[in-house]
Amino acid sequence: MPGVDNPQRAHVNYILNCQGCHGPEGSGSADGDVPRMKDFLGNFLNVEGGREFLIRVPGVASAPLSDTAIAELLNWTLHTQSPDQIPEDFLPYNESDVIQWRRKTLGDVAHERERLIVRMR
Amino acid sequence: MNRMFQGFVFGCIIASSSVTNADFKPEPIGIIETLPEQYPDHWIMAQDLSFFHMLEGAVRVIDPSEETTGDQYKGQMTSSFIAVFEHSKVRNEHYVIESFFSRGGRGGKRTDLVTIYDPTSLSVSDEIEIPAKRLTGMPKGTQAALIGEEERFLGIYNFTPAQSVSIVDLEKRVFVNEVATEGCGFVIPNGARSFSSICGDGSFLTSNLDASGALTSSTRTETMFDPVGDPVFETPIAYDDNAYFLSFSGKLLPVNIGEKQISAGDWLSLATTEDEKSWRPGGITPMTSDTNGNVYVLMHPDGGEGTHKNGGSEVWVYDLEKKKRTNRIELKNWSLVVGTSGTGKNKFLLATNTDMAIDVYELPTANYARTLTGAGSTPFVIDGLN
Amino acid sequence: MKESKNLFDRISEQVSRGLAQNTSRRGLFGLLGAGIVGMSSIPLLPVARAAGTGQPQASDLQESGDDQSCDYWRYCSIDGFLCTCCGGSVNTCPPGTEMSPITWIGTCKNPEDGKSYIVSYNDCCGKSGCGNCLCNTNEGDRPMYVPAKSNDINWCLGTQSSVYHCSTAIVVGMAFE
Repeated sequence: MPGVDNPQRAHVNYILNCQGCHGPEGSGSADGDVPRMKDFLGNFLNVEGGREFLIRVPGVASAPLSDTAIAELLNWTLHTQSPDQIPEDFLPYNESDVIQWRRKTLGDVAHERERLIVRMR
Repeated sequence: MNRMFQGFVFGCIIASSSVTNADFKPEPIGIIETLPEQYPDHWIMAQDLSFFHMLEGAVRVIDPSEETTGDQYKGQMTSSFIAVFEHSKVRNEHYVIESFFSRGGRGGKRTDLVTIYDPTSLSVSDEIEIPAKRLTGMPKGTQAALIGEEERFLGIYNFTPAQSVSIVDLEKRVFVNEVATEGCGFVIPNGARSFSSICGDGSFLTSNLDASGALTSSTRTETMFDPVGDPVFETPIAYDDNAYFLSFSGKLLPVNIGEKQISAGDWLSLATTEDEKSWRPGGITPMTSDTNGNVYVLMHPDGGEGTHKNGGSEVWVYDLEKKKRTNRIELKNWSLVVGTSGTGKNKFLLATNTDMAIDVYELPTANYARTLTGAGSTPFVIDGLN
Repeated sequence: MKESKNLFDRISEQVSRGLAQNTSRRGLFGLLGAGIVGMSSIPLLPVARAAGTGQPQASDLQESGDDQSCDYWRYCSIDGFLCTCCGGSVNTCPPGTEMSPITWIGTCKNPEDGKSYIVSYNDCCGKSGCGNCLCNTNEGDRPMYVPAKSNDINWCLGTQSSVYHCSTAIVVGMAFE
């Protein structure tokens, strides 16, 4: 898996920090306003602003994990839950991407997500 | 035989009294008591979350200076499903932020309301429906807050788990809008029309509202504490321009919550000697304050990971003016909740013990006075009204 | 005053010291105390009940202790009524309830093998509070502004009903060593 040094570690980090809300497979919950990641997450990489969006969402930006661990977790989640949507020229996330974007928090996440989804069409 | 004799004596007494059928005045039926418009400031609002029957909560008005349960108990407001209570001094109104289910305990359509009570009659004067997504859980004072000096807006923290704050206009009696606070939660009022929320990475988010209650701008601070290593409890003490947050390890973090800028001061330690360092704060409501800038913290010995809700055997007093710990109060009973009420001669420290009764201590002596047993099954929050 | 593990231990302790004589305010604590005293009188079972009742269990997981007791290893950070005392099990909900898909996740050490496992504390929802086996343990619990690590929240979210009934403790993985 490109950009994932240790898939087991990445999976554990997913369970501890993401699974509670997004579910084991990233199915999300419509009733709980939890976005679905399964078979969808990779679409963000196809639109301008999408790559950094995935770092800036609060669940990722605020997770008690190092910048390196965040990059690995993002790559693991993309490859595990949404492999078919990842563009061919995708460069795996790395530590410097996370450093660059993590502290630039999003104001209205739902609004920004909608904006990006409109661009996907 | 004996009873017949008693009846005979009783009959004689009545016959010998001066009341006759002609001038007997029956007692009136249908009179309902009222409370004073301004409650004495030592009265408390005891919030019974009714943990075992969550749809049956209540906020009870209690005078902790009285001796009998009957004399202590002044009245009650029902509060449904782990509700939140707020009181506006400016508007002299009580607010219960609660949830109802159309099918009771099994659910059905959920309706969240801000129920407005008149403090004198304790009857409902109005209801404002809000989005049915307020956070429900163990009570924290910052789940909702009155915003601005005029207390015109009420902010209510939502968690679905998407995070936001519902803004209610108390003057127009309407829900105005929902402010997104993704990654951050709770409502700490600051400035004329703004509030701050605590973020999962240990920073703060300030949301500024316009005159209609709509969001105009927001700012996010740098990280100010370690939310995993030594997190702060959700509810700070407001004093001067600061919000004093209490950390799990027993330190106070002064956070200057200005409207434009938020900055943290130096950590203040509750412990003064090496021996005291194993003591930790803990409880369901572990911290309270009085009007003189004294902070009261429930403390337990031999604290460590996971003991932050254990409650305590002592209350430590920290004077924010002098910036030092001034007293250690040994409690009569192990307690889980603290509150204060009153000023001058009628000033009390109140502590819900593990029996879920409220022990009353007189301040400033901290002498135990009495125990209140009429505050319901789980009084997890005790509010004074000053 | 002696320090004790958690508040409900303490309540139980007080009940056993004879505070139950004070019947005027015993409503809740008579109940709670009785529950806890009753629980501790059950002898420790060699294997968790979940294994014996044919409930799904993580493969090769060796467990010991009483899964209806607050000190059972999976419950190192649970807040609420144990589903094992409410018609469910450690990892299943009681009949007629609905399991919340959204929850918080903790890490507990299994004394049987000394390894740390990841536990998903899914709530069962849609009936009013079960009321049995109230527990509150807080290892790794963090305030509600770190929701992924907070057991103070009513996690009946993403469900038809947000009325809380009881809590499960489902082993969903092994911690990373």
